[in-house]
Amino acid sequence: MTTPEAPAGGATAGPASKASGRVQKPKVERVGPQRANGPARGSSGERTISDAVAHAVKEGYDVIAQNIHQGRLAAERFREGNYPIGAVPGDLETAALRMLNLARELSATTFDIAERLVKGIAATASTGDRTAAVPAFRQTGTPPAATGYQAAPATAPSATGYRAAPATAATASGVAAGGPSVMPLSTRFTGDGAAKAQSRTEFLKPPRTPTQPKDISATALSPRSGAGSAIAQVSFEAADIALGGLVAIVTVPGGQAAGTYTGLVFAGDDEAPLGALSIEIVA
Amino acid sequence: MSVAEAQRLQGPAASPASMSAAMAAYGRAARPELERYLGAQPSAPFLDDLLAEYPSRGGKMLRPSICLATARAFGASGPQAARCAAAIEILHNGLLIHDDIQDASELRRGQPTLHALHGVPLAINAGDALMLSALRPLLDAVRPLGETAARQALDVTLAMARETAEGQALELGWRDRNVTELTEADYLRMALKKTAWLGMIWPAQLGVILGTGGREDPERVVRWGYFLGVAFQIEDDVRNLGASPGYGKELNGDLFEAKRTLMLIHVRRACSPEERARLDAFLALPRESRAPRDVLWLAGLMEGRGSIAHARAVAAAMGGAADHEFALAFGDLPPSPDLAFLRGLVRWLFERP
Repeated sequence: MTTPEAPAGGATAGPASKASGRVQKPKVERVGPQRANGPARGSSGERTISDAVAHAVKEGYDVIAQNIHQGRLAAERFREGNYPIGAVPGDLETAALRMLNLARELSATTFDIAERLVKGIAATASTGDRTAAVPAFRQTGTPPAATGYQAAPATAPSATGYRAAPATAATASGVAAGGPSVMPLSTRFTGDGAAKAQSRTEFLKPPRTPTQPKDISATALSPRSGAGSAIAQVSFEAADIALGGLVAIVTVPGGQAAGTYTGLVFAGDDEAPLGALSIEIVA
Repeated sequence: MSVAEAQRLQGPAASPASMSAAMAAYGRAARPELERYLGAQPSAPFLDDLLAEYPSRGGKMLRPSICLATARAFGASGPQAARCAAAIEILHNGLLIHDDIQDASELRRGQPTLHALHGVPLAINAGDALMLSALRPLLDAVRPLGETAARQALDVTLAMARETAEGQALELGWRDRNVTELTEADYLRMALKKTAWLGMIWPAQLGVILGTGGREDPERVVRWGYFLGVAFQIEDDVRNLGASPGYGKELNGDLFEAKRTLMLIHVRRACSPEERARLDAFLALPRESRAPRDVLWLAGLMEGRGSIAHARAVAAAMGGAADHEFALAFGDLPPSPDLAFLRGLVRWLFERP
């Protein structure tokens, strides 16, 4: 790759010292003390280059120190998750939203980011500040966002196979749509019976602590009528921010009896459920 | 460990000649990934040819080289670093398209700028597409490293985006609003944001993340990248006034644009009141009204008032500070060709062709 060369610079002994074998100090250029309290002046009154350079280097360190300090303050506020999104300068907000849209690619990371964003934006929504500028994660009943962050309606399955519950459906979890603390849910159906399945849940409560999607689980989805077998294969994967805060994957066997099936969703070891996941199998 | 001790343990810097060879090798590692990602989509009319235009013109590949060398110096192996380096170059090229429009530049890498060839609307669109296209290889590079590293990469990328936008806004704002009361610290702040963050700090930070899998704080390279970037920017500004203004760049182009360089800030303070009045009148003119004879007068004034010598001295001092910070940022790494390359960047930036 590269060819290292001998180090450059450094003090070297002169020919005389080589001959005598002794290391001698080089002659000093100045014997008196340097009493320059201020910058040294040339004949024209201009600061000499060396002082100007010293000044520039000092200013250089001051500038980077200020910048790093500001960056740390901003990072701390973001990390704590309490940065009011309404106070973020507009262009950064735009950049963050763009990044969010692209962050869907990051399976492990996205869920955590989504959770933080949901909290931040929900906090903003509660103060009524700049809601119009933050279309993501709107509550049910608001007009669809032009940016496409709104979940797709259930009657129009997207090309990716994701479906969300109809906007009029009440959440089975009991969390009031439009409340300050909800986590959007999208449902993806797999299996031979997927074509007949529809989601009836669009929100859950967010976990109380940051939780990986793999640590979210659901009890088997059982029919209230008791007719038909329960649907046991339910898993969760990294949030797709463009569609919602979390994605449930439900495997529907072929020939599953028509009806509404419901199970409870839990985060990690938390005994309190995040809500109920309901799906409907149409005839 | 003292800085001197750290420098001794790190081994020597690479020579300027071997720096060019190393940069070419880093470029060869990154370019296939760059072409793979840019060519991944089916060709779209009025778009894909434009996306490939600037990358196909070559370029030093300095930024990808910093990323690759840092990643390898910290122990990275495999394709991730090359992917990340490609992302950096793609984003850089997208920004260049927009820079050229903002500066009304006519040449880029020795050929007409993209907006000169295809018009401003299509060029803006291509710049947007390139910048967003960069995120795909970036995410592909960091995703296998796990959550911590991925998050760090997003953090440093967001920070870079913000800093770079701030720096560009400062430079354009000073020029377009004809701001003249500027200090050296103002210039350093602008150079930090506009040049150093995207060009040096961010590539090095991504290298740290890739090389350590997120176990090291990427902030450790910020000061080094800053001083290196500022030295690079000042040297570029000085070269613009010389016989070799840089590959494909217009001689005295910065003066025609009234770019707020260290020399301009210095000369405005060092000149006489009469000269300052003429200078301010020159700065107040729109670009197309600035006469070549006035530009030559200003170049002579900068020479006569020691502004160019001052800028050279400050650039060298910033290079020295970068060397000092290098020992602190990389002092605990074993000697390697990649480390020698990084250390050799200070000397290279002054001696590069």
